[in-house]
Amino acid sequence: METRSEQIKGEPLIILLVEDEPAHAEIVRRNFAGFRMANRLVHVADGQQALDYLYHQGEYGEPAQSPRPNLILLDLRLPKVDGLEILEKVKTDPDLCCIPVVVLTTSSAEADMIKAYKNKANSYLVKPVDFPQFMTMMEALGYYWLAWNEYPY
Amino acid sequence: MFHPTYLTSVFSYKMNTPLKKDSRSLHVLMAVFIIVGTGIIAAGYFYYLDYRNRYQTEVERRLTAISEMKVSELVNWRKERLGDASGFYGNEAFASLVRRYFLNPAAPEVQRQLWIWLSKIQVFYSYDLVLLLDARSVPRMSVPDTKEPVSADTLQYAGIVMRSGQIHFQDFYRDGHNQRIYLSIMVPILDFQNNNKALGILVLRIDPEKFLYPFLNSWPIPSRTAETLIARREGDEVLFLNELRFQKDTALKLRFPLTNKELPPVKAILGQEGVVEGRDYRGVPVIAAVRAIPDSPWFLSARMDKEELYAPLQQRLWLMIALVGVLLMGAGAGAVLIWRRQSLRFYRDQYETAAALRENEERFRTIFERSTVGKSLTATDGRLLKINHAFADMLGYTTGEMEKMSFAEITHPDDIPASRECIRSVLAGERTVYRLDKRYLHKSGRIIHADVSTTLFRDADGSPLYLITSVMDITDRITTDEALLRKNNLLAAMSDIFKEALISKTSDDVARLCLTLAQKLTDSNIGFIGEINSSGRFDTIALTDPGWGKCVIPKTDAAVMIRNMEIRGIWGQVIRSGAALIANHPGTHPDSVGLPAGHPPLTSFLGVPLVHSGRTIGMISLANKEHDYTPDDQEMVANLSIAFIEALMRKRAEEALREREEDLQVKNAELERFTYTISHDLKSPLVTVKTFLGYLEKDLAEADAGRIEQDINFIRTAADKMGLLLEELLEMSRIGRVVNPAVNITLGELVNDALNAVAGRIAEKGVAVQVSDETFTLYGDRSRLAEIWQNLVENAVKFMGDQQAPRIEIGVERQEQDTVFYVRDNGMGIDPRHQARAFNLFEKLDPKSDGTGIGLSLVKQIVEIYKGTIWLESEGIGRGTSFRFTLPGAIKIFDKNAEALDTKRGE
Repeated sequence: METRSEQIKGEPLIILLVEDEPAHAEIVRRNFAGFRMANRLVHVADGQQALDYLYHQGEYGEPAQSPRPNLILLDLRLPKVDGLEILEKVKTDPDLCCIPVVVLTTSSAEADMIKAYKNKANSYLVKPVDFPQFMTMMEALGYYWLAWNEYPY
Repeated sequence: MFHPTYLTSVFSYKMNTPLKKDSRSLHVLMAVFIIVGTGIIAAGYFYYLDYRNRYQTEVERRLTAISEMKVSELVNWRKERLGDASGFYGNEAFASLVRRYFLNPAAPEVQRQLWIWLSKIQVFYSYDLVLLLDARSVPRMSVPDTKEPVSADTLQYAGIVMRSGQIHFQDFYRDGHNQRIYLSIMVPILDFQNNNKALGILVLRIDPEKFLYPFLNSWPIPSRTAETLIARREGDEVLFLNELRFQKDTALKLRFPLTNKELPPVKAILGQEGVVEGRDYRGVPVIAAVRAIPDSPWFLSARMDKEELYAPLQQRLWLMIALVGVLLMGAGAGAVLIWRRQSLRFYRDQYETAAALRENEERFRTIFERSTVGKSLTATDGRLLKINHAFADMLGYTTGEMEKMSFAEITHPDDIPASRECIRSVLAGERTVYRLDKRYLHKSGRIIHADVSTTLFRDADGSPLYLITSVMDITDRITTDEALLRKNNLLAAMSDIFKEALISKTSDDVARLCLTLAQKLTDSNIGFIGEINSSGRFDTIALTDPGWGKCVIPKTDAAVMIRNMEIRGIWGQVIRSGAALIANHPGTHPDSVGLPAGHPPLTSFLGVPLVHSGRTIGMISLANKEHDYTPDDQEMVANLSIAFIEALMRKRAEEALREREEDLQVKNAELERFTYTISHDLKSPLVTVKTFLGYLEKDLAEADAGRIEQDINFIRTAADKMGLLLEELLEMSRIGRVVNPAVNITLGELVNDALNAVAGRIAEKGVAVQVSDETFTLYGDRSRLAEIWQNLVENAVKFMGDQQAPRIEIGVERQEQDTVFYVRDNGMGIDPRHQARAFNLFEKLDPKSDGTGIGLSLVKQIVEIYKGTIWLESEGIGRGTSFRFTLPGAIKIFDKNAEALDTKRGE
């Protein structure tokens, strides 16, 4: 299925995945890889790296190396810099606030949810323990955010 | 001792005013007497005057009446006589008879008829003699028959009568022959036949003695001097016609010239009529009623001697005078009596007053002297005139000594102005009495509190004389009052402390309040409160602020000074002995160790230990009271300290409770986080497992070997992680529950334990571990304590990073306050931004590292169990990390020297 935007642009969507657990990152990678939509998944394992990427610092000093993501998938529990902190930073940054941030976390705690939404998370997804469910969600995630959702440029 | 006349003179000062009153009353009395007397005299006079007038009138009336009577009688008599005569006059019968007789004198019948007729006349009309004269004045017949010759006077008039043919009343004459006085009426016998030529004369001779004189001499009332007289004028003389009372031989003999106008008859002759005053023939003043007897040459004077006349008047006068005199005397006597009585009364009053005065004085003196209340007489200028024993004793002087002083000398200087003001207001008349509390100075210098009442005594003119003062010693009451006040203040302070304990946040606030109150109660300028800390040293928990102001020690040094102080000096003595101490000359106290430079000097000192459950746990120290500290101060502070200790303990308990609560809260929060973290961290690998199982299924179906292996790996890793997690979780929970018995263990041993546990990793990484030589003995759970170093070393090893010569240094630093343990590494360090979260549960600053991230959290927990703190220092990435921590709870002190402990190993 091709979106109009894709028809127009034809460029892959860049998704920044901020996830400290490698297994989980793998899950997302496998999922998004399956999509026919061209997308490029950038994975950072901790919050500091995520910020470095977004602000073209540290490792990601080269802007070419860190193209602006169209979508951020954000885990909450992160070493060094907490997920919520990153969320807040992104959403308050005039430059980055338009980037949709989808919280993808194991935590179903109400408090986390509220905090995420308060910090203007675009969506909050809880990783289900059930595999089929997880697959379905991932698919939906992909379709929704990669196919249906429109991204400003 | 007590001068008897002093008060008398003082009291009788100007008391002589009653005498003035007396003379005034005398004057009044005299005036009254004079008035009364004058009244009496005037009354008497006027009465007399009135009486005299009346009397005079009466007299005049009487005299006039008498004279009138006499006059009328005389007139009548004359008329009668003339009437008699007229019986013959013109009596033709008689005339014819006479003629016949004359013609024939011898005719017996005629003679007899004539004789009868003449006798009848004589007898009937009571004439002295009836004489018939013929024309030649020859007596032809007489009855009584007498051969007396006819008097010359008669003869004298006979011719006239015969010629005139009128009856002639011959007035008094003296018969030359017998020298007797007669009057006669000569009636010419007219011959009617002969042209009324007088035949003869019938002489009717009247003897005045028969009737006239007696009549004249009669006076209706007996009188001494009264007489009636008649007189006639003869030329320019007055001739008295009757015998006068007071002079003999006056009839027809006594004469006075008419110039003698004093004679009443003269007055009559000269025309006066009525009552006249004059002098009679004697020269005696007389009152006479004079009249001219009409139809006669006579002038009547009914006269009485003025003297006799007025004798009654005189009498009256004398009577009046006597009466007046008597009345005056009576009045005078009365006045005198009254005056005497008044005098008497005055003197009696005087006497009584004097007696009363004496009595009063005596009473006053007794009261004054014997009173148990101090009394004084003070002059208006403040000099003490008279002092009673009570007062003198009160102030420790003798009365003689005090009577030389002035009130200012015995009054406390601060109270002199108030006393002066009271005296001034009383002298100015603003009030008559004042009362105030003031302080006197005992001879010894002690202060005597007194309740003083003073009255101003004025003399009769109202000018101030002196002040009478009563002085009551109320020192006891004041002392009691002061004691009560102090007690009140103490109780108030104690309750304040309790209140403060309820409302204040920290126990230091309570201590500060207690210090403030203690200072106030004891008038101290500076002080501190402190307690013995767990090191056996002294922590100041409250210090007087002004103390800092006066203190020139730099703040930083001072701040250091107030904690963990060595217990020494005078104040140290209090703690060592556990007993309160008063040192009013602290410099000279044997335990004095002097003051730090810049500390304000101590002039007096009071230290009270804080004793709780029999142990000295601290002290309250006060200094620099203006006067010396007293046992009362000590007692008050001691009482206050009890309240303070209670409050402090309570506060501490509160604080402990709060801490525990906080702890609990923290723990709760941690637990929550724990639970949350667990759920999260357990869930995560579970998700991994289940997901990759799913993938595995798919991959097995597709026989994607690479993927299969991947999947299986992921699953295994996740499961491992879950297992590890569970283990460590168990470990964590065990920390809270199972505690091994505490033992003494050296630092070296602990470190060894730790290093042994991590030996593999150390060797693997080739880390050099350097342990300091310092020996230190700790007291606590060996394995737990060892875990601290174990985890820290493990961490250090883990995070060596790229360090080529990895090195770990383990040691202990002895600082002023605390003992600090450290584990230093030269590894990769920790980003300053992330340092704060290092000790958080499950915090893994490097996700790639193994371990669950609970290590540091664990270490922190253990450190905190031993009441210590842990922190890290790292300058940043690649600069190594230094973990430092204290374990005060594992350090036990037996005495102030920590080294000594080392020598008692294993105890």
